[in-house]
Amino acid sequence: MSSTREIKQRIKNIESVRQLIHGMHMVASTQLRRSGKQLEGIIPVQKELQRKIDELAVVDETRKFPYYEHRRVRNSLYVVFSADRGLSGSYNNRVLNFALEEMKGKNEKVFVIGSYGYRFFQKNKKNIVQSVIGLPDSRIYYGSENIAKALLDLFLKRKCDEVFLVYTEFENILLSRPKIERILPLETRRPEPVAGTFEPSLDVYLKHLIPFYLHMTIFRAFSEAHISEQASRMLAMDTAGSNAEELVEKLQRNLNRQRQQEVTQELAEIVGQRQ
Amino acid sequence: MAKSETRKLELNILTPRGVKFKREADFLAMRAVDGDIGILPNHAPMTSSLGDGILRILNDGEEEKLALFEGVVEIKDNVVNIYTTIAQHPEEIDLERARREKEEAEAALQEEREDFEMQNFLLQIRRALVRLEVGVHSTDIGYFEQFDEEE
Repeated sequence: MSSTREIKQRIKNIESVRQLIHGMHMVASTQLRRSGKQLEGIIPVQKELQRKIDELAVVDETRKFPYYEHRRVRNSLYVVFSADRGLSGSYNNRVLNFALEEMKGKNEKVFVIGSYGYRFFQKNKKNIVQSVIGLPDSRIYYGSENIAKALLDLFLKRKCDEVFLVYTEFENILLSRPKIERILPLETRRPEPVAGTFEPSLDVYLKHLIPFYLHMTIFRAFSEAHISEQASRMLAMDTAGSNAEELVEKLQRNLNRQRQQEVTQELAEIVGQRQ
Repeated sequence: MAKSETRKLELNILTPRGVKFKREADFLAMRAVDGDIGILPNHAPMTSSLGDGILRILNDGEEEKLALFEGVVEIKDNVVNIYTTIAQHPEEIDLERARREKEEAEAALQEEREDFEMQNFLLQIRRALVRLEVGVHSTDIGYFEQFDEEE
């Protein structure tokens, strides 16, 4: 058994780590609240724009636009959302392995967000065509706009024939799961009756609607991924915190026992000397 | 809500930053991609893309102005839904900043630039002008005319 001093040192170390964990937990929970607000803001807009896109599904003239062109698939582009920072439990691994699984048998191109994803796909020798690393939380909105522009550009220039988003969908703090969604070419999901005319023309309308729609869809996916990351980190820190507490308790008990033993031994020695 | 004899428009604005805005209106004017459009009650159903511009809301003789930047407007059964990137009230606009951004972009345009850079600076100027116009609460500043001459 280690000496009293060693145990005391360990307890001190664990206590300081626990404080760190506590701090990270606090940060994650404030960020969680902030990203929750962000997600709440984007969801209604994205839903309405999705409806506007679905509405176009019954308009036959849309077929001639390149956004709807279903080509023979040679290259598939995967936009994978991962985190820049670790210590978030299984968050990164789960979404990255899910993405890897989805890429099987495809001629993949990877558009990766987050340094964890970048390292992961590099290690797995995947074809990374573009990466976004170290994007601060406050730039997610504009970052999404740039990503949307880049995707549309790659698709229209025929550098890829389909585009998938792979991200972690947020259900609640305890539940989030990886999800894959094809965003290009545009799909015809639930045809809904069209309301009136498109001004100034279908051509101009699509040219504005589709980048806006993609921007909002990517912003939503990014927000979902971001909030899942925070939730996952918060949970991980929760577990780490209670583990640390348990450890301290155990060590404290050891310490007490050892001290008791020392006292007993000293007493025994004193008594022994007297006799 | 009081029952009114004349029909009113119901305006809803949604932005990705969580702005939810509801108004009743007699008349709306906004900037679509190809020019201004005005909307009165019983407008035919239509959908259009918005440019960067001012939304004027007239209700019971009172006018309210908002700066809108891009988006989609949808009109159906006297309901006007606007989904836009940014909707700003006059009091939310930082005039100093808008002025600074306009000047910066104008200075940048003095030099030789790539096409896409030019477009970005022109966009910055256009948005700053919209903000200024909404922010200073006056309709006849002539910023747009001024800008056209400079081009």
